[in-house]
Amino acid sequence: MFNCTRKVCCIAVMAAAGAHTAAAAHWVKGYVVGFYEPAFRYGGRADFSRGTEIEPGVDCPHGSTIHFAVPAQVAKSLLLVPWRTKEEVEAIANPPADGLNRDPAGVYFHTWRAASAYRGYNRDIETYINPFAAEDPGQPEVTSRIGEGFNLDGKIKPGDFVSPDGEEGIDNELYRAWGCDAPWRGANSNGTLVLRSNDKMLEGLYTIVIRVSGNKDPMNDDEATLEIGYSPDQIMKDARGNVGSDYSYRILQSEQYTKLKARVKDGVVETEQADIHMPQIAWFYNQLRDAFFREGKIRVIVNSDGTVAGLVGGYRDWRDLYAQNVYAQSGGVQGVREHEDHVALYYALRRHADGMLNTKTGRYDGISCAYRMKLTPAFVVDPDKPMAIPSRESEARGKEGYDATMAAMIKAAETLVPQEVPPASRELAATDGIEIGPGGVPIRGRGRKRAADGKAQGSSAHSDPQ
Amino acid sequence: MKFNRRSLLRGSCQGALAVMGLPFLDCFLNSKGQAQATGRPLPTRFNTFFWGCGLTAQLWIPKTAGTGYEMTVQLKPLEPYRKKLNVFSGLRVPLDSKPNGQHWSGLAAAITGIAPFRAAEFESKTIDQQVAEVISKGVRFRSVAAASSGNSRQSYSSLGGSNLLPAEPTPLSLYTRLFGPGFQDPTKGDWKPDPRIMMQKSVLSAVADDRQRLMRNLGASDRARMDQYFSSVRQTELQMEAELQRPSIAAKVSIPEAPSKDLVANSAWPNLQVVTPLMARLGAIALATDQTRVFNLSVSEPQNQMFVPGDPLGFHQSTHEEPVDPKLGYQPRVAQYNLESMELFAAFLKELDTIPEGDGTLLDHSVVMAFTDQAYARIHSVDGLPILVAGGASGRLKTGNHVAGDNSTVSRVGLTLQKALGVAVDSWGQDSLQVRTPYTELLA
Repeated sequence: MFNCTRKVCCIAVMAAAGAHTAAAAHWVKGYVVGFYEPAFRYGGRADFSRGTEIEPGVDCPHGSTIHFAVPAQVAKSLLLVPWRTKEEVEAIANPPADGLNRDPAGVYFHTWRAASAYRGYNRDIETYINPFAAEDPGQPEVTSRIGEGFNLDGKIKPGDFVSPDGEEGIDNELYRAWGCDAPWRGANSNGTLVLRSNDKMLEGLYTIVIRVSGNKDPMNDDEATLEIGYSPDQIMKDARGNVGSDYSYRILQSEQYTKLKARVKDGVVETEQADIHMPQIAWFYNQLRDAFFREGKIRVIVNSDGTVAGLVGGYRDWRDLYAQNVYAQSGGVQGVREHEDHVALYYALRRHADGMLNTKTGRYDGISCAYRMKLTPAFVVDPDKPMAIPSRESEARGKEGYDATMAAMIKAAETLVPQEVPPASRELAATDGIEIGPGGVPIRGRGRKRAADGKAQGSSAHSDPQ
Repeated sequence: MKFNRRSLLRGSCQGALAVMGLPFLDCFLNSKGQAQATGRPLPTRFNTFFWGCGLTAQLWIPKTAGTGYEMTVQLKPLEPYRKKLNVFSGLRVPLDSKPNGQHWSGLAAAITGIAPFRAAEFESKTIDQQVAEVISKGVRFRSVAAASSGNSRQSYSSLGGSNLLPAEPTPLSLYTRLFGPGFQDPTKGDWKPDPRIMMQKSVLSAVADDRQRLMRNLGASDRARMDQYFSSVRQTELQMEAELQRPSIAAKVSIPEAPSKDLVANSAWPNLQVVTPLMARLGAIALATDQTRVFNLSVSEPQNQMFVPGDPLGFHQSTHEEPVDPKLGYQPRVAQYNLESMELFAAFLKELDTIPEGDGTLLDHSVVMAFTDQAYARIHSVDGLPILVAGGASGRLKTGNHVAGDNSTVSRVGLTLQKALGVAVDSWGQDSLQVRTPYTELLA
């Protein structure tokens, strides 16, 4: 009798607690982003090997980009430059790099990166800042119909992607424009810049956290809230080097923070469509800034294997995307090393821009895009007192250089008047590639000297209207 | 009359003092060959070997830890030295809030225990200089650095900041420094103190009395200032003292002829194959003849420019440009350059291990720390930095182990080596890299 009474009491208490949870209990779930990459869907076979080529696939029938990979490709790009002679192009594409005594710094690399930076309609125009002044060398586009992202415009258009789950109308034109770009393409997120940017995030370059909360059932709550933002706390790793679970992270209500209304249905969190501010992908400090998604959305899904996946999408300003990819180092350095051509990427962005209509120009300034995230459970808390995103004094100059270079590029794109390379810009690392020294190496510092001279004289040498 | 290795035969010749050195005799060693007959142990040396751009994780990390591990593809060149080698994998390089200075942070953390704020700068003396303070007293050169790819700035030996102790860039320059003017062959019988050094020393001695008198009449702050000044004077005196004594050697070596000035030192693999062993040999002889006890050999810059003729990219560029073979799971050409780097390290060890000394070889009485800048050069990753350590530190370091990743920081290796070399240090490194616990299981 006694036992029975106690059981009844327990059941009664549990029922009361359960009813309370389902009805009105405040609940909070936190996550730290442990992996963050563009939602580019690889269409090749992961087990395929043909030498060291990346396999063509349903996404990219001609494989990944091979810009600056071989002399023939370099020659093809440089022959588009009106002031280059065939002989000059041939010499640059095939620098004398044989034998045991060549310059140890890498003849091809220095020659090609220098030449790649000056492809304008006249020889003084730096074309990573003024890409409009160069001919489009061509960027292979994704041809697959399957793509990840959101239906941002609410329409189902003929060219839209279909999600892997069968949802139609997916807007992800960034994937179409850049999905074949070598450093971002690879099986199992194996693209060089995908791995690199995530490695830097795990090293402590930046941290993103998400906090979802509500007052109903965590599995079904139509009045939930999702916050996303920068955390000043570095990602904690476990003994195997993986992102550790259940550590505490502060979330800063900074310029990289957004609070959104969300709906939770059967455990899937989906936010309202609104502007989203959150950190953008970075692999250098100077890239750290707001990834501003216009009319964006976030989805968080707990997978059947217990892992948690996130997807954020929206329209991003193509100029932010271009600068993010080019100016961390310099266009030539990254282009030659990663087999991408930023002039081609520029034209691809402009071709596929599909949002943020600029009424002045009549053109779109934004491009639809989506980014995948892998989330690890964490305790996301507010800081004791409001604080700004910490800055690194030692890298302030690099950031200034990035900002100045980006500002010059935006001005160039708006006015179509070629802009000079700003003094702190990393684009000064490349010479104009005209003078080829012994061993095929361009004479270093020429570009830097010229820019400095021009500034000292107060000249604005590059004002040729298009 | 009892003779020792420093005894000189004295006499007078036409009224002037005549001094004659003695050849190195077996009676200067004890019966076991482990120490000199004076009772002093054979000196332990510290060496570093640097190569840029790391290794390929799938191909160098042994599958099992401990002594019974299977030699991996990229460690194969080191097989002959397996029993004298320790392999460290899975080492972390926490950067805290400091930037990952590409191709710099990893190597700087490995040899200073501190993640640097800026590329091309060290936050402290490098480990070779910290060790040299302790083990290099009484030798001609506190440390010597050499770069087999021909660039004197390819030195990873520093007193801190952006200072680099320049490396000898060619075999001939290394030879000239070690065995050129001012060198007296301690293996020969006609060794005698350099009269120029004696003259300088006598000048310093002459002012010693005045120096003491001066110090007695100074106030506290001036005395401190003068103390600093006299410390550097004292260092010079010690240096001279060292040069006035026949170096303490137990190895059986002979000084080779000067290398040809026509040898080209650059990053071409065929040249590196010739120049690296030659520089290693010269360094080994310098260690064996006690000209120095710290020798640093680098074969590349961090952005390793090694290239095989016909390869337009070379090592570093390949790490960035070569796609990962989806079937193999790594970059095949990069893997070949990794292997070649290990062949150069093996060449260094060979030179140390072929010089007999006491009851073993020069390598047995040395520690060689091989380090690099990258764990995965393709993405500039530093966590998982490979470190290889060879040599038994005269019996103070146990060898033959693969010390597998246990979440230790890279600085734990540096602390362990310093303990083995007799450096009085309780902790090493800064911030998250600070460690207090060496690998005690490796310390004998």
